[in-house]
Amino acid sequence: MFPLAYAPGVQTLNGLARDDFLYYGMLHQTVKGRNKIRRLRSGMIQLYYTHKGDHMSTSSSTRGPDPAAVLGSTQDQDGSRAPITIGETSMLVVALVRIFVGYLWFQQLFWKLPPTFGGLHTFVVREVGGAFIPGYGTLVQNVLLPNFGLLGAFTFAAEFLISISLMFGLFSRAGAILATIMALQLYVGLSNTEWYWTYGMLVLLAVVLLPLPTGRRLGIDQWLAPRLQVAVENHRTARWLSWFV
Amino acid sequence: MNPAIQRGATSGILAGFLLGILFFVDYGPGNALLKPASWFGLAQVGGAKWIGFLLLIILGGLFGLLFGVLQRNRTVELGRSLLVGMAMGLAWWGFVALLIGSGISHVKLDLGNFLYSFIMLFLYGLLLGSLFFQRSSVHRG
Repeated sequence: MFPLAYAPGVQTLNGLARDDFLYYGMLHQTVKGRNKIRRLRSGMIQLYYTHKGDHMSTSSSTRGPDPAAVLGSTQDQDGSRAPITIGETSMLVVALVRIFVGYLWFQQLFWKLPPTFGGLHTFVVREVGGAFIPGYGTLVQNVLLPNFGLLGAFTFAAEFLISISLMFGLFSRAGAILATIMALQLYVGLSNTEWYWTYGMLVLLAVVLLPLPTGRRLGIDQWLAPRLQVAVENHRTARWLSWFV
Repeated sequence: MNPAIQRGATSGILAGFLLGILFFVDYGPGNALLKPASWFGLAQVGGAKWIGFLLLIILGGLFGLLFGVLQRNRTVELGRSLLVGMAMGLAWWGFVALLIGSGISHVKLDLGNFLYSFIMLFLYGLLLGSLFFQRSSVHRG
């Protein structure tokens, strides 16, 4: 039998425990066809949604890991595709980065406070001439600037949501997606007017938070994720929401 | 000392320290550290930023201690830790930032001041509850 990725002390959800895990492992050895492996995937999702004392599996999304990589197929004789686990300390560091990125967005609220959204106007005007995508400046000038109040409210609300999501680790992936979109917009509109990498780094800071479950430490997602995972079986909404934690 | 109280106090100090670092990272640098100093009318004295930084750690420790007292002799659960932690953050905002800061020291409570102090102290509460839970888990392990 392959050693699999089982580690002593792992607690699995929905009553799946060590024996279940080994059962899937043995089953895998009898399966030769790739399609059959795919059929096992739904079972593996539960098994890999694990959390033990000192490690967190990175393969904890609803899609789960590639079973071939996890179970040690013939392509993985040297273990080069073995699942990666992130240690507790590393997770705390990643969580701290998430909080600081959230704080970065939070601080930007204070120079564009409602009802005037004052400081924002200067930058929107700058986007008219600064955008590097043809037509973007025209769009800003003819659509966004005439409706500045609406734009200001939307921008403030979006940045507030990003900061709450990332600082509190609440649906942190959703916050990272929104931050990526907002940072991309800034990159398109303003990077020509300043050092390119200023906004490039803002995009990358958001992107780097996307694939990791950063809210599972020092965040509300740590409490939310296992509950959503239990509800995944019966509720489609929970399955959808669980991607964002 | 009861281990829960001890862990509460150390978690509170850690969360307060982290809050102090966040308050430092701004356009100032460290201008936001004047806010905690202003709650006690100390924003105009020399070294006010340092006073603000120390106040965050001291108050963080005190509310952490209170958190530990509330959590003593109870099974440590993540949900309850986070909830009680955030309640502590809310209490800090209510008693210190609002009552002492705005009520006694006459700190202006406009949207900016409210948003900053309320959200940041709520974050302190989350960090307190989360750190307390993490430290309890390590202790159990």
